[in-house]
Amino acid sequence: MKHLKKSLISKYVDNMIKDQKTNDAIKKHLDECVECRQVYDSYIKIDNFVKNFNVDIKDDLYLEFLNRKINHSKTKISTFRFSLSFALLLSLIFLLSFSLTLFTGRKNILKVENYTQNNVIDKSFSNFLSDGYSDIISTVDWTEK
Amino acid sequence: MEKNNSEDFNLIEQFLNGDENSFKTLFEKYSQRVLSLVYSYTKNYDDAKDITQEIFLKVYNSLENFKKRSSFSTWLYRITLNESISFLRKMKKEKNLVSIDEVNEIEIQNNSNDQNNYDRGLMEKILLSLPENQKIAFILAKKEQLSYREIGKIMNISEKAVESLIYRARENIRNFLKNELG
Ligand SMILES: [Zn+2]
Repeated sequence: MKHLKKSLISKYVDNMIKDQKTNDAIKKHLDECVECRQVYDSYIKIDNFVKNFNVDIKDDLYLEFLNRKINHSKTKISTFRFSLSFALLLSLIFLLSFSLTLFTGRKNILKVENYTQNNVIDKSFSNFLSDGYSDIISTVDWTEK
Repeated sequence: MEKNNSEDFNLIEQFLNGDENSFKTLFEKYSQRVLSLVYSYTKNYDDAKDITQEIFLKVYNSLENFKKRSSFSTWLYRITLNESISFLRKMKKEKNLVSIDEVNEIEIQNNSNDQNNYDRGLMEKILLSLPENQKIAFILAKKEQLSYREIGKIMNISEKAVESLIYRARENIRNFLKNELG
């Protein structure tokens, strides 16, 4: 006698064989064949065990859930607060550095202004020399620098 | 199944309209099942409880995004599997020797229960020591009474693959019992 494929028995146990003829043939074989019947019975036994597989819960899960929920929203608020203060700090730093660059920029502009002024003086000074205004030089106050 | 599903949808609707008690009903209906599923991954009650709470927190905060394209339970079990798997990954990173410890544990347990054919503790250990996919498909099929199709949706695999996983789970358990207990 040709035995049933065990994968077919497994499918049969799960009621997953759609074809009625095949179903009937399997049932008939299981009634007659001890070997296949043993496989079928062990599958049923194992299934019953898994059906009853349960974790005994020792705690009030919902109460614990509520606690966690409250804590979660608290941390949410505090992370919000944290990010808010962080953002404030960042904008403060930005503002500070921005005003600093502005300030130093202004300083640079002043430097340039000074520089050009000096250049103008230098040029006019050399003009004095080259054009023979030596008598005017005596009027310049040298003690200033 | 259909009635059960519309019942869940109603509860979700009521919850989204501000009725916290509807969420409590959902929680009480599913928390034990979720915990059992998570436990089959963690094999540790405290971790399972912790992850279960995190799962329900996630559900609580994202129920408004639930599109009702599947049943609530399918959606919930999907989240459950994802959370459990990411927990396992984290654990495996922390200690690589977990699987070796597990095998030893099963052998010790086995020697002390020789005469008892379907001892609950032993059976549980055998079930839990199955490869992850086989175990989950089998538990979803038997404990949750889900069809191959629904399991496929939850695990993101084909019906045919589910069928094969369940068959291999049964055979693994049967062979283990046959070899170890005669
Ligand atoms: Zn046979």
